[in-house]
Amino acid sequence: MSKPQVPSTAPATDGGDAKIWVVHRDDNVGTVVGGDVLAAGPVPLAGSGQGRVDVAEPVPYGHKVALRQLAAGEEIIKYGVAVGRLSGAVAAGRHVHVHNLESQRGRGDLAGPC
Amino acid sequence: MTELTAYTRPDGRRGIRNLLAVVAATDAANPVARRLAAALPDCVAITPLYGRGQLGEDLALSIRTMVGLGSHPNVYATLVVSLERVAGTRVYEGIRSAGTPCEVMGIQEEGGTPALFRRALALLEQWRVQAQALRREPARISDFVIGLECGGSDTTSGLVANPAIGLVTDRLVDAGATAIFSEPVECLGGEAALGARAASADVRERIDATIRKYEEIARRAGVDLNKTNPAPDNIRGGLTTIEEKSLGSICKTGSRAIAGVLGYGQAAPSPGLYLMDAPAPATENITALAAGGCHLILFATGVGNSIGNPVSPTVKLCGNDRTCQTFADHIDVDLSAVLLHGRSLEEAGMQAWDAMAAVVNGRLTRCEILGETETAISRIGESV
Repeated sequence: MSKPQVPSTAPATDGGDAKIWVVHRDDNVGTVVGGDVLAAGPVPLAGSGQGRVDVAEPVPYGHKVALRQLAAGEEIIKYGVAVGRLSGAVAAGRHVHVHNLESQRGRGDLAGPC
Repeated sequence: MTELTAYTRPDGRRGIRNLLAVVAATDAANPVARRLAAALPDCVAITPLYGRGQLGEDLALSIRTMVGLGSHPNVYATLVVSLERVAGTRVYEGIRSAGTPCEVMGIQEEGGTPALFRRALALLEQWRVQAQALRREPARISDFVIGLECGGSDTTSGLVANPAIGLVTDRLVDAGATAIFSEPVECLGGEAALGARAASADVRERIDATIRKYEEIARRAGVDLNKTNPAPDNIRGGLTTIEEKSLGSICKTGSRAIAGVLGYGQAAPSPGLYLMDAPAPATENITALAAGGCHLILFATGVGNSIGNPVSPTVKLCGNDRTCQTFADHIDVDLSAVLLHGRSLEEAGMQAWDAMAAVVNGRLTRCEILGETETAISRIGESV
């Protein structure tokens, strides 16, 4: 993914165990596992991912990070398939969650009358 | 491979426990059913709510589920209790016709709960003596029906615990056993992957229709299903949308052909992998799986879920190292080495298989030790 970067002065993770797990090679997000990412900085990829990504903000254990620049309306791919659509543009390394990712299924709030 | 052992029931079915059960056919009998179950070892209370004022398919589903639980192969004998005997008798007759020793008592007919308790306890003690005479005998994995469940999910559920269970599922199917997954709402977004594995075009259409039914519920209500599922704990654990949760959830179904779709609490007609139509909340879902005859339930968790089924030992598997530490009292199988130390999923799958075999052979689950078991039967109609 993004090229290695000089580590910031603050430790990027809680004890340096955090990594970003990528399930499928087509995925455009990865999952923080092994610890929280406490500050911006490079975090190694694991699973189907190789290299590292420059995480741009603190991201809690289990939450998702954009692996590249993503456009508003773009589908988020995990497990190699769409798991929702972005409500706004997301830069590489940013946190992807309920604030910017919307489900496309079970949206009875958007559907017309039955 | 571990040698498996089990009890043999009169109709030839195998049981991995030798329990006594007290089924409350109407909720007025729940308190006395709980007191009876607490009064002697290896006796479980099946205490759903309602049981009066139900009609039509809603009533049929409730009775079918109580019969399925009361005649479960892990149960030696079942006592049905109800406010009056008629409501209890329709459950009693179903359990008896399945071959399980059964009696029925009404609170009114017995002259109140203290009198019922005394007579019931004497009966249960007699059954316990008889049950002790049974011995475990060699069994094959194909004798068993294994339920697949996930609850208190987070993103690790779909990375570790569910995929590890999926490897177990493949081995079960290959060995001629039966595996049942459910939670069709947590298949939304995964229809293509599941449909491609349907054993026939008809099964594919039934899988699609079963999953679509849950999206239609949100559509009819005019609400976003995602405000309910993923639940708040799932979202805290990093899951954002129902599609993401689903794709993790269906990892537990493995990769083999899906033989058919079962109704709520319905038993599988032959070995293989099945989808059961039942709501996803854990207590409700594992009630349906157990009523369908699952001997044991493999239950993946991420942020942690404590509940199990009274008659179907429920094995908690977790890939989140934090949960394995902070929620350790409820975790049977710690799979956190996959994400922490690069342990392979294949090894995690073997660990899950070995734990399952040990529970078949009598090792108690955390749910059994702590008494964290409950029954919830779905309501599909209004009471009158």
